[in-house]
Order: sequence, then C-alpha cells, then structure tokens
Amino acid sequence: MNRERAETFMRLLAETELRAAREGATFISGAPWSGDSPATSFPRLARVAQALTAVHAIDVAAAQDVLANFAIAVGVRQHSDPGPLLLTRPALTRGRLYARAWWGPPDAGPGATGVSAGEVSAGEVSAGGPDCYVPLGLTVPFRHEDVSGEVNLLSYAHTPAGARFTVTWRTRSPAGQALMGRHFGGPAVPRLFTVSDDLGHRYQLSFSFTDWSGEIRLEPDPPDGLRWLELSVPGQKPVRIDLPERGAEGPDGAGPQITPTEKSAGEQMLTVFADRLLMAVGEHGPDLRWTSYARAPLHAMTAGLGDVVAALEAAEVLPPHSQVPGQLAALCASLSVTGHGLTAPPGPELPERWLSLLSHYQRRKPDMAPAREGHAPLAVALPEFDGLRVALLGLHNTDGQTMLHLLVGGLPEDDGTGAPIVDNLPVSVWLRDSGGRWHVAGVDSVKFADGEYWLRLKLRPALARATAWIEVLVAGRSAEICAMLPLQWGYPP
Amino acid sequence: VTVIPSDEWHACLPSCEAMVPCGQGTHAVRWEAGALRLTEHPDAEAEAVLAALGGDKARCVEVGEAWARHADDLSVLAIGPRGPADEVVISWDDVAAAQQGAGGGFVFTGSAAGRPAAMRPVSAAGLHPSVPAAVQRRRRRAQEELELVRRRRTDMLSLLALGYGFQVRLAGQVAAAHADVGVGSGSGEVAEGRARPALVAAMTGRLGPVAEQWLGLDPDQVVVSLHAGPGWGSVELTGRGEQRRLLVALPARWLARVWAAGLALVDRHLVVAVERAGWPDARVLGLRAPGAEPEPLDVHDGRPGGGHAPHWEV
Repeated sequence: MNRERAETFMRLLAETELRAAREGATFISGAPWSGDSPATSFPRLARVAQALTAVHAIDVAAAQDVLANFAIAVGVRQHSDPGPLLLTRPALTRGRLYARAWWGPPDAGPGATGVSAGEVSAGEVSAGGPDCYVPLGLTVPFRHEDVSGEVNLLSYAHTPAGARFTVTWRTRSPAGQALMGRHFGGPAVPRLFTVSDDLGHRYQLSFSFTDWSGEIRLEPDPPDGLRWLELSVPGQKPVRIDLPERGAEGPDGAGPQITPTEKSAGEQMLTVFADRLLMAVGEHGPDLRWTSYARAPLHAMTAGLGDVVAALEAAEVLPPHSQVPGQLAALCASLSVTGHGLTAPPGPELPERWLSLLSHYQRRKPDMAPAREGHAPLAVALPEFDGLRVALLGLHNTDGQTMLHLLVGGLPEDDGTGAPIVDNLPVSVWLRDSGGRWHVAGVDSVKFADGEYWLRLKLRPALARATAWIEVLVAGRSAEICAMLPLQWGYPP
Repeated sequence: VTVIPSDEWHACLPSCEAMVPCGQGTHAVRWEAGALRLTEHPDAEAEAVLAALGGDKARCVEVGEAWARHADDLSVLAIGPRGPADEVVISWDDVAAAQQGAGGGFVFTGSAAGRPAAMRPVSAAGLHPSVPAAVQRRRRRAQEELELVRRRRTDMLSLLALGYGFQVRLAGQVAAAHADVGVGSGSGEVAEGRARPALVAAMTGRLGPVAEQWLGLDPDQVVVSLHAGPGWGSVELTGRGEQRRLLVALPARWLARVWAAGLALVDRHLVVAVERAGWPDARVLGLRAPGAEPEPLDVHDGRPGGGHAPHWEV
C-alpha cells in the first residue's frame, strides 16, 4: 500500500475539480453569500475519499481535510456557502458504498490468517474454544392475552459473548400482529417464557427482534458442561434442548471447504461492491431492465467507479492487471448501467454466481412469486479466516423474503470512524440452492454486543421452500469458505 | 547548475499593506520582510491577553492571530489562489457575516445534507443500546470536527480579505515552512514527508496555469514531482497528442521563492530558481523551453509601487 500516492491522488483530483469549478463558475465579486451548494463536483471527491479510507490507504482525518479545504476553496471563489459540506464525515459514510477492508486485528498481517485448503469438520472448527452451536428446529406455541402464536427456535449458540437462541415468531392473525406492535419481546412477553437447565438454574431472557426474527439471550451465561436446557411456556409441554459436549460435531456435520485466495484490499472492496450492486438490482425489481429511470439507483451507485479504481491503483491496493475492474465493467454493461467511468475493457469471464443472478434478473418473467413461509435450522461455525469468526445460525422465509442469520466475531465495535462496518460487511456472502441457482446476501439488520455482531442478511432472490440443501459461500481476502448444508424446513401451521 | 539559496525566501517580495476595519476605524496591516505587522497595535499580545479575560478583541489582532495559526498550515495552499488569474476576492462584510453565522452559519443539528449517515435511521439503530452509543460518538465527533472546520473557514476568509498580495505571501510562508521536504533533513523527515502530497498538489495547481501560458498545454497535462538533492530539478515534455505530458521536478521551495514572488513566468521563460534574490532587481534561472538548460536572467520589477504583486521584466 502506498499511502503517500493515495493522498496525492486525492489532492490532485481536488485540484482538477477546483479548476473545473473555477472555469464553470460565474464569479460575482462582492455578491452576497449564496446558500446553494458550491461544489457540484464534491461527490466525485467524496467517493474517492470513501474508497481510500475504506482500504485504509488514507486516514479519515486527512480525507476530511482534503474535502473541507475543497469545499472552502470552491465556496470562496463562487461566493457561496459550503454549508453542510463542511461537515465532512457524512461524506465519508454517505451511501456506505465501500466496505472497509479487513484483515484480522490490527497486529495481524496477511500471514497471520493461516488458512490452508481442505475440509474442516464442525468439531474441529469449534475445538479449542467454548463455542457451541446446536441446530434446533423447534416450534413453541404461546398465548399472550388474546394473541396466540408460535416461536420457532432455529438454533442455540453459546460463545464467549454469551448464549442465545436465534428465533422467528408469528401470531396467528394479522390483528394479533398489530396488537403485538410487531415488537416481540415487549415487557410482558419475556415473562411468558422460562428457561432452566439440568443443574436447576433459571435464566433471565433478553429479547431483541426486528420484525419477525431476532434473538433471545440467556442471562447469566450458562456454565460449561450442561446436558440440556428446557424452555417452558404456560399451558404447553416444556421443550427440552439437548446440548452436545463442547467440540462435538453437530448434527449438520458440515465440513466446510476452504479455498485459500489472495485478493488485494482493492479487489475485495470492488467484489463486495459488485455484490451490493447485484443486491440493489434485486431490491428495485425487474423494471430495471426496461427504463433508465428505474436504473437511476444503479447509476447513482456506480458513478465515479472509474475514479475509485484509479485511486485504488494509485494507492497500490489494486494490482494494475487485476481482472476485477474489467468484470465490474462487464457487470455494468450487462445491467445497461453507464456513466461509471471505468476504463478497463469489459471482461473477462464473470464469476459463475454473478452470471447466475444476471440470468435470473434478465429472464423475461423473473420469478416474482413470494417465497412461501418457512424456517430451517442451521448451526455451523465456519473456519476462521481474515481474522473473522463466522457462524450460520438459521434461515427463514418471512413476508416473501429469505433471511440468513449470522454471528460474526473478530470485527471491532464501530468506533464512529469511517464507514460503518456493519452495514457493509467486508466479505461476500452467497448461497447456492439445490437447483444450482445462486443468491446474493446483503446486511438487513445488525446488533453488536460483547464483541460479536449478530447479523440478519437478506437474500436476493428469495429461496424456494422446496430447496433441499444449500451451499453457503463466504469469501474474504485470504480464503473462500464453502459449507454444504441440508435444510430441514419447518412450516407454519 | 546548483542553486543553494542563502537568502530569505521572501527576498524578492516588496512590502505590502492592507486596510482592515478595526473598532470604530480602519487600520493598516503591513507585511514586511516575511512578517505581518499590526501597525496600530504595537502590543498585540497584551491586547490578546485582555481579550482572553473578557474584553473585545480587535479585528487586527484577530487577523494577526489567524496569520500565526496558519503560517505553516498546508490548507492555505489548498484554498488560496493558484495565480494572478485566480484572485480570491473576499470583503470584510463577508468575513463579518461568516463570523456571525449569517451565510456561513451552518450548525450541525444532525440533519445536515439531508440525512447524514451518522443520523440515518438504519434498521440496526433500534436493536441494541450499543448502537445509539456509536451514533452518539459519531455525532459528538462530527460536531467537534465541524467547529474546527468552521474556524478554519473564518480564519481563511479573514486572511483572504487582506487581498492578493497577502494571499500569495502567506502561501509562500507556508511553502517555505515545508520547503525541506524531499531533501531528507534528518529528524524532521517523517513529518515533512507527510506534507509531500499537499505540496505536490499545490505545485501542480500552480504550475498548470503557468504551463498553459508558457506552452499552451492543458493544465491536466502537467505532472509534478518534488525534486530532492542537488540542482534545480528538471522540466521535460514527453508524448504526443493526448499523451503529451510536461514532467516537472522542482523543489518545494520553488513555491515560496519563485511562485509567491510572482516570478514563475518572466519573458516567456519558466523560472525554475532564484540565483540572486532581491527586489526590485534579482537574477533568476529561466527555461526558454522544456529540456533546455536554464539561463540566468536579470529581472526587474517594472511596476514598483504599482501593486502588491511584482511585475517582473527582463
């Protein structure tokens, strides 16, 4: 990485943009200050700042310095007020386009990740740590005043950060949903449930939900060596959850495959950006194929990509002969997105998963039928890579959307500098279904507690409930981890 | 040709003066021999102390303090003029308006620029108490940063309001403060190295218009690097058509000694160094064309007293 060249690139871009602003400005000496934004070219500079700070090629303070000086320089020439542009930090986070590069804790270099090719058993993955992951697939009916419904326990996870169930919930009527305010876990609800263990301990339950899924944490932390937990609801038979010994292989028995990779920080960032682009296509529906108006969100996302690629190359975090810029150009061409400024010729071959998603989007009649409701337990810890510990905690189809739950350790808590980490994971997460179709995952909601991120990812397109198995691919800079997992769907009554 | 300057960077610059509204009147502020002098405030330090104790601070004193704060601030190079054609005209009314918050009175309320990311209601925000804490940290930090930048802006407006003569002299002073960059001058090397990107950009932004005037090149075709070591540097023209580039390697002190003194282009020569500094007469090294050897030129300010920017002639 060449930080000096990175900063020089950004400052030279500011010079170019200032000259352009100067030449295009109608300068009125002595005119009152205008409230209009003086810097139409500010976003171009801000995007480069975002990208360079995301890969740590320029520190946030230096990037802000360039942005603020640019805003002031244009303002004093155009006799306009830089106003909000002086608040430069949002410019670095606005849109959250670029994932922060991440390669382990600060003192860990590329060599510290230590991944090697091969298959790792679930037991092997969790050995050496207290982590315990148990797939559940249990449904617990409940009744609260006039509202009845059920909680589906997808998995139980016990890590150094604590013990939690990943769950979905439903009421039996829309009226009930409204009555509950879609805030499952309000003050009354946790008291409905009790959890105890084979040693006679009882636990307090802490509910944390967004819409129809979330987690229930146990407090205090259960001791090691428990044989079972029991969840009780008034009027229902208690549900017993057998806990395996620590390090024992779970029922899924998944043996994730590790493929070492050596992606540069720039390549990883652009690859994750491509995921976000493909996710956005799914978000905005099939109209994207037909009208430029509908493609506006994609144009907005990709504007200035050429500058970003040039900046990453200048910072020496993107090899000059990397295939990724050409692949991004080809992806943009496939989506009829122009104006990105990428100069690399489109190509070469696109990754299979991109092609799969593109072919889905470009079908004459893409599958728009909402995915049927259902939930599938998962509990798999993936081998550590890039300093990250990722575990899969469950999958469900709700309201026509497919959600995948993850637990991620190894990322620091968001300290308020740079782009928010959690809204833009530094890894690619994809899922291939038993029909061979790929699905891209993007962060839908997140919470941080005790050193771990609990994430809910949304899949595009949604998963058919007939899917018998999935292959989950998590791709970082140093490795791609692939886990093949059978799905045992549970259905709402 | 080896050029080792033994004189002050500002030796080719005459003194200059500006009038500043101060209190009930207007006071002269003077730049002379590299220093700003507040002629009507002989004990500005004492006045500043009194102001700190609750008294009013004189505008002249404020200007003097701003000058001192930014005498080695590279922001001056990023904001100030790139050449005579880029004169930045700021009135004292503009300064007053900015200081009072009118016009420049943006206050961070958490809703700047529509919806800043820090305050955007992301779906994560409501999930856990730690998320609002992070948002609070962001907000607090943003507020602190905004205050610093607003102060920088009002400082800059005050300094720009002094006029073009002061603007280039301050730029020269800043460049001189960092002029050892690239030379590898011992303990200061790391800190100075941090200034290199800003200096390269500052020189590029100022050499571009000069090259346009000198050779008819697009300013984007000028590629600047900082020259370190003996000699004045190099200036070469390479490529053809769109690939044409003017590769310029000059020491950072060029900004202070040559550009700030208005010597960059004299009689169709790109001046690369000052051999014998002085005003209104000096001897410089000028290039008639890229790749040529620099030739000594005796130059003279043909408009002494005619303005704050010298008008050099051979």
